Amino acid sequence: MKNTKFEKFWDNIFPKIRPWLFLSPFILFVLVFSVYPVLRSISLAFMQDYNRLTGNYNGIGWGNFEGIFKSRDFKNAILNSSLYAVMVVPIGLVISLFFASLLNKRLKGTAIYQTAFFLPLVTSTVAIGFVWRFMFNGNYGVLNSILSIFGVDKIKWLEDSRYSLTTIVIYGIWSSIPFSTIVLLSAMQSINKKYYIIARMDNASSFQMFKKITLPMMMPTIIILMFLNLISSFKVFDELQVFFGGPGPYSNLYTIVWYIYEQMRTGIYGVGYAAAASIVLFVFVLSATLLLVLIRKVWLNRGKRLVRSKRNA
Amino acid sequence: MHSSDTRKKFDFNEFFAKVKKILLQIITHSKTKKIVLYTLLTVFAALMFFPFYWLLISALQRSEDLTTLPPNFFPLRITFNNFITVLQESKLLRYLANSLIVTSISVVCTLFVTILAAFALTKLKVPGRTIIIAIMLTLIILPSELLIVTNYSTIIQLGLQDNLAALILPFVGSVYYVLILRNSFLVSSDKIYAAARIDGASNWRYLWRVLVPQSKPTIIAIVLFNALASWNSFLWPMLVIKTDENKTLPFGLLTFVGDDDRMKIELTMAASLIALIPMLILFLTTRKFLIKAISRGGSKG
Repeated sequence: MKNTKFEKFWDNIFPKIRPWLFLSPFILFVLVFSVYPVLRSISLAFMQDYNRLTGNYNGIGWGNFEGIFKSRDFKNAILNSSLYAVMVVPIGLVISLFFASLLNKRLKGTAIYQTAFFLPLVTSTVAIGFVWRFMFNGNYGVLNSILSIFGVDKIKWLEDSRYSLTTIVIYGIWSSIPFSTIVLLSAMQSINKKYYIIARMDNASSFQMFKKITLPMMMPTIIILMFLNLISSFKVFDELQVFFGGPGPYSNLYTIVWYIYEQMRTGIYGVGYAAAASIVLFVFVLSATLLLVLIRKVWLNRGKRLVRSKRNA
Repeated sequence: MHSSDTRKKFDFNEFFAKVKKILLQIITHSKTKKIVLYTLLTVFAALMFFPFYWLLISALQRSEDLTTLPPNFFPLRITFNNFITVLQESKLLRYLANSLIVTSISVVCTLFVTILAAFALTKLKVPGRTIIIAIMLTLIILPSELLIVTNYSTIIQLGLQDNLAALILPFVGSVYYVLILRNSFLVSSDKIYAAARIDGASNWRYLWRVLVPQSKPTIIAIVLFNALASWNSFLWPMLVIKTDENKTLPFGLLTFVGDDDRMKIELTMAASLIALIPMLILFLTTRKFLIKAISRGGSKG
């Protein structure tokens, strides 16, 4: 290994500032595009009637937050995200758990099945969303023609405001399955095989084994997935744009991210509202994360306590 | 008359007893159990795959065949004209080129910047390292939506609105990737670093010749995630890109939908299929890597 003159110079003259040379591009980008925006967004959220063009504002206060919580669209956004989460998170997780246990059987040819299962993971919502939009089409969509076999009347999935949330939920479940399945599958595969061998010696049925071994062992992973999916349900945006070209057929399907996007695009006073809404989103994410940490702790302690009580008995 | 006679003769009790017997056999018999498992897997895989199948056959049909009732599940008349029309009459190639440019530059720049930072934070003596890492750990919880409000005005002030650079710069300093890389660099023994330094290798040489090759799996995973995120990014381009010439694929695909709902389905499907192909190739070639990376990240939380 021969060093060039430049490298020797580098090694001898700059031992003190060398780490900063390695770090400086990263620090520069983080300061400009991560740290500064956070501070700026927080301060913007409290500047009332901030004018995007002149930079004037009307005092510091909670005006923006009062404004968004009075706004019908923002209330609608929180309601929709909650309804969406209540449906997508549990249904998606149950289906993923089922898929993961099927894939865990280690049958031959699972590679092909895996490919089919995990394909939605890499596809952009816009491209595959157009297919869904076509399948949801009220007049000649494939979904309605399949449903008509069971005697269901034509449903206007995209135009009828009563069904638009269901439409988004169906798509949401389909698109959330691959990620959850991969994570659950790997958690399943990391469970020690000894437990199952012992359980089989005790003549446990496979359902009993699933309930008493698999499920409790996977609980930490399931909790993480619940929260990851919960957070992503606040961020629904792409499919709204593709399916409806807006927040639902009658502006009835706002989400927090859509609200932020709209406030940023409309009017010169929208920035303050957008900043306030993004702070609210952050508070949701933060409290979800804290709750996750807490639940995990309680769960792990519970396990330890169980082990201890068994040992004492 | 004749049909009602046969219906009367049908014995339901016997039928159910038979079904029960068959079901019990299925559950207990391992070979039939396997068949049931395969059937279940096939059915569910088919359900998950169905939209992709529908995309493919819709892109291959004439528009008049797409609006028939019931729809053609197995198309008889196949045409490739949709692809030709889309490539000739729309700016799809332009969007594709933009996406390729943005994605590749983004991957290279992000990797370069994050590898340098992760190296400094693991092997070099940085004063205040714990503080820097603590700040980084706080930054990863922040939702990206908190940042876009200000980043949008930063981009305007930098004069980068409607410029492809605006789609790359905000995401180069990825805290998340630095933390992942740091975890992987920490595994590499400090003894090797010391030995390399004593042998006269510069930090630079050690980093690119030893450390980076050692962390290949992590780096490939980061390339994949970064490429996916950049390729599929949608909200941010919609904010900062104004003209048709600078749109990336997801945003550009939206132009296929007119103001009213009369989108040309067969053309939209053909364009969507073309848009999916690069990521499909990436996925099929790196499937094992991707799945491993996701499962590692997910179980660690």
